Amino acid sequence: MSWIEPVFTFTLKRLLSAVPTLLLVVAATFFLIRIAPGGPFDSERNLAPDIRANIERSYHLDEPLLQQFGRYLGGVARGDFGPSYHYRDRDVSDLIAESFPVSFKLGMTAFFLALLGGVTAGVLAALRRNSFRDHALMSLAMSGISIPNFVLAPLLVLLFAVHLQWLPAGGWRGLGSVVLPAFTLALPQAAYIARLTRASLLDILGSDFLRTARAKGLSRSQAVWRHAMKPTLLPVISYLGPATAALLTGSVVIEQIFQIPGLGRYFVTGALNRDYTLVMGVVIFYGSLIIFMNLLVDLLYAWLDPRTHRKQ
Amino acid sequence: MSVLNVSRLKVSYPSRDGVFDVVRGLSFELDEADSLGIAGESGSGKSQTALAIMGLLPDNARVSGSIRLDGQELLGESEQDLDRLRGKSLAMVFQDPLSALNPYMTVGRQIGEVLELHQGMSAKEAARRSCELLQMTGIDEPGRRSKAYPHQFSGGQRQRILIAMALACGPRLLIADEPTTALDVTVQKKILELLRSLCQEIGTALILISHDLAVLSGMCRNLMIMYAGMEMERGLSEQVLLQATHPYTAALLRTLEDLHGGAGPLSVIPGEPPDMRNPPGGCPFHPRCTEVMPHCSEVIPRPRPVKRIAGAQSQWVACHLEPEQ
Repeated sequence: MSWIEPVFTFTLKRLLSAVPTLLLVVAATFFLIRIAPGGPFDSERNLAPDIRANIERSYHLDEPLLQQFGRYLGGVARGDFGPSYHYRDRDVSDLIAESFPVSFKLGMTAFFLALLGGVTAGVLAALRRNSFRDHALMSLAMSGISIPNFVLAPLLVLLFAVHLQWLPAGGWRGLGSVVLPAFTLALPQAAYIARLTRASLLDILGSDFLRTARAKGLSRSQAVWRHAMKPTLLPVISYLGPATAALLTGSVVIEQIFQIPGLGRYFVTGALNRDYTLVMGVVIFYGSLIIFMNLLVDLLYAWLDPRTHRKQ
Repeated sequence: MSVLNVSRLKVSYPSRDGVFDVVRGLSFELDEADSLGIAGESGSGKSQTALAIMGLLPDNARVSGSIRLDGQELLGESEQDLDRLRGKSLAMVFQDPLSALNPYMTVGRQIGEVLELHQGMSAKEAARRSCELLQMTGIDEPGRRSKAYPHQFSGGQRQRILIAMALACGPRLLIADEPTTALDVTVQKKILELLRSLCQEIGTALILISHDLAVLSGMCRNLMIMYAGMEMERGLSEQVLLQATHPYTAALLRTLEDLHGGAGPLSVIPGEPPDMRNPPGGCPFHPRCTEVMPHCSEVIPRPRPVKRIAGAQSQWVACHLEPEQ
């Protein structure tokens, strides 16, 4: 198994190089959210100054900022994201563990929806270039990219939940409640992947090696399946890292609109409440997730493209 | 018995300015295990002719005339039937070996694919046979190398692989379209030698396309000179070279002599190749011809026989000029 060692070395290198990246993200978030006006306990009504000082001391908010930062990093290094400032008696880790499965389910549904829908649409469009089908699919893709999710979501709710009453307008109960949010979340990514797939396949369809395949006696569809699919999908695969990041960002809005008790909603309420530790926790968690996805994508890409292999 | 019989072949493309013809009434024959070199400048229709025979012209191309392989008409044949012929009876080697192989598939698989497709071999048999074919085309350690990807081979080796692939099923006809243009000069000769000896061994008829007359005359028994989608002169290679009848052939040969001769400025053919969207009337070469006569711009000269050797027609020329007696 000659490939295990280079893969292991590559993974280790990437994980090590992720540490400074994450550190930078943590630092930026930490100081930025503290620059934002207000603090975690400002909404409490008429707190006596000494009580307030007492609370802040118990959360070490009276210490100099750099000392707080050091204390926080120390906690994170031990796997402790600290207590939430807003949800009393709850640890940030608990909140993440509790709400992430919901976001994961929504995100994965959207991920596969975007991948399957996007690739299918892109391939169908490229195979009949400049046909009605091509133009229709690409107009749809253009709309998918252009229409913001906070516009699309209410329109879908109006149609499918209010008028047709096929699907729930929000909440998180049963399979039906996944459909609209996952679709809204997936659409722009599906559209982007469709355009990417189309351009990529058109490029391959005009390539010399596909003509060689036809000259060997493969039919057009055989040539496309056996020789064009893999090179067509490579750019799509390298987009999956950024796509994950886009889905995570999108889920923050989508979960808010559809009232889904996921991590994205905690992120928004956390930011509004100046719940410093909660926001930091979610940022670190999502940051790691994106770094991990990018690593996975790079490994997949290297596995698929023989030209990246080391010479034996 | 001729393997290939092309008659009145016409290839044209519709465009915004009307239909333009890139191959204009080409007729020739090729006997079993014989060889034909097609020479001409870029845009003379050489590659279009090759792709028309293979049935691999773009969808918007319009083809008329007749192309018969072993008597079977190929024009108008269904795609399925053509797929059955391509790679088996009809094979082609393309110009650029760097891009003609699939970079994501091992070369063994790419050769084996043809065998599985046309000879019903199992993957295992095909893999074994591809190693033999690689060996035959001069790739060392075929067992190990067949598991390698195209980028791990040099340009010359890749062309050898493509030749192995094209000859895998022992085709009746092989078309090689400028197979060495993209290669090092030092490798060119070896590849051409390989091509010729393998075709002779298998009994495959060869059409070699090039703009290099010297290469063609050394490789092929017959020679056809094309200009603006038409045949200018055709015949046995030595006759065409030694007794060029067409002014265009003569002009080409002069440029060749200058390349190999010594000092002095290189001779060129004055003027430019015709614009195929708006070709000159009459003989397409007349605006550049040194022997031009008044009716050259009006009447298209049809190929007419000029020489016979041992009772067989051996040279044709499409020119109004009467051969010197």
